[in-house]
Amino acid sequence: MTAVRDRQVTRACLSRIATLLLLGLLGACSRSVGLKITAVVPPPLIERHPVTIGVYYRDDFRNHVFVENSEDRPNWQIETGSSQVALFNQLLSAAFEQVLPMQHVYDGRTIVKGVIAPKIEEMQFATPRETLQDFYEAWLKYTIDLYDDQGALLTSWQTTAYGRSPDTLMSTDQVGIDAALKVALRDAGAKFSIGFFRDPGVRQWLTKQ
Amino acid sequence: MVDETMTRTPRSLKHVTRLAATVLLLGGCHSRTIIDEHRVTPTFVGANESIVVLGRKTNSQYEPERDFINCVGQSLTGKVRVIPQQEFVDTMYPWFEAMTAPTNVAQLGALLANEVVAARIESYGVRYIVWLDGNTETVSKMGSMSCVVGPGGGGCFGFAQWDDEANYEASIWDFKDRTLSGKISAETKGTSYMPAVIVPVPLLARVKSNACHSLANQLTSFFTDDSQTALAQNPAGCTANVTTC
Repeated sequence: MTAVRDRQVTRACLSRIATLLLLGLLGACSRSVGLKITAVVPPPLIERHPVTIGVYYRDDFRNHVFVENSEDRPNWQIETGSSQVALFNQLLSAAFEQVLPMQHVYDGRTIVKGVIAPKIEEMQFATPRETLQDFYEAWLKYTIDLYDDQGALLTSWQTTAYGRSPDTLMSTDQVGIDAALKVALRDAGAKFSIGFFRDPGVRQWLTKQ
Repeated sequence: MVDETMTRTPRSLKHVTRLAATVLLLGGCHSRTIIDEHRVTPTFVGANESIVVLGRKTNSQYEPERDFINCVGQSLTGKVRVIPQQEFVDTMYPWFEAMTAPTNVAQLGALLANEVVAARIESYGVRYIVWLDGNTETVSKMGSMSCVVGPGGGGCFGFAQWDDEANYEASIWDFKDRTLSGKISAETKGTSYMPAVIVPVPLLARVKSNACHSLANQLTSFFTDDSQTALAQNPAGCTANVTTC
């Protein structure tokens, strides 16, 4: 009787393990992506300019969502808006003495010496299935507009950020894309912190302040 | 007594046979490491100074594996003060990212011309950066193995063999003198085997791990070699009694 019961228990355990493995495999094969990116980028170690600036986040930037629904990428929805805003708030706070949120590129406040308005031009991804490489990739193309204290456009600085994350065993598109995008946001922060202030238009504006 | 001896002999024979098989199998998967050191300047890590081990990241198809960098860093800890890679890169953000990190010693001077960066490095007490570059890859595979799973059970049969090669180079930069202190390279080759009779038995050559420990040992000697540290502390060969050299 005991042997029979043991066999039944063993069978039940094996069947549960098999079910779990099957579910795991199905999860790994899932190609839909529903993500809200929460990237944490360290505060940049850069010189702080003694200037008060305004920051204007357009609605499409603040609520940025990447959406795609194709055969290869079914139900992809990747929300990056809140992370983008958090990233630029952090970068600008490190770079300028005071940063004021704006509703438009010009609102008449004399304390504001310039306004920065970031824009996401393009977002692209590549999966190991598409590239036959063993990593996920993410690209983000930005345009950062700088307006003067009267709301006139001074310069538009462009940059492309890149992130890559390794494809691991049992990894899903969701996990891989999330990791690659976080690296790309970190790269975007690094490029902005160094590159933006080397732009001739930005330098010229800074020397006038 | 006779019976006891008779029962003992086959058991001990079994043990000896098992031991011999194990030794043969373990001896079968082997690895070999060649270390090459090129010292440019003497090195000395002071009491309040530390080193940092960083992976050289590029946008090429590979970059040094994070586990390898951590392995080298951890192997050095205790012998010299080591700042963990992630902590250093986060603290120095954005100056040691893939696209912004200095790629040669000449660029180090330009980076340290930035007062904010120089002050942070100074407060951290970083004396040397060890840049690691390289990777481990499987260069050839032989044999075949097939596995079958059915309602009654399963198993694998066959024999697989593969060769791994690890090639890493460590470039040691002196933050204080802004010079290249030296280079150490480690080349490890090893063959792993996997015989399978129902259950696969992996006999791994641990190529990456051996490369890590060999490189870490050489780096330890690079930083703690008494003759070199004495030379670094006293480059002109001055003795304590001599005031001008």
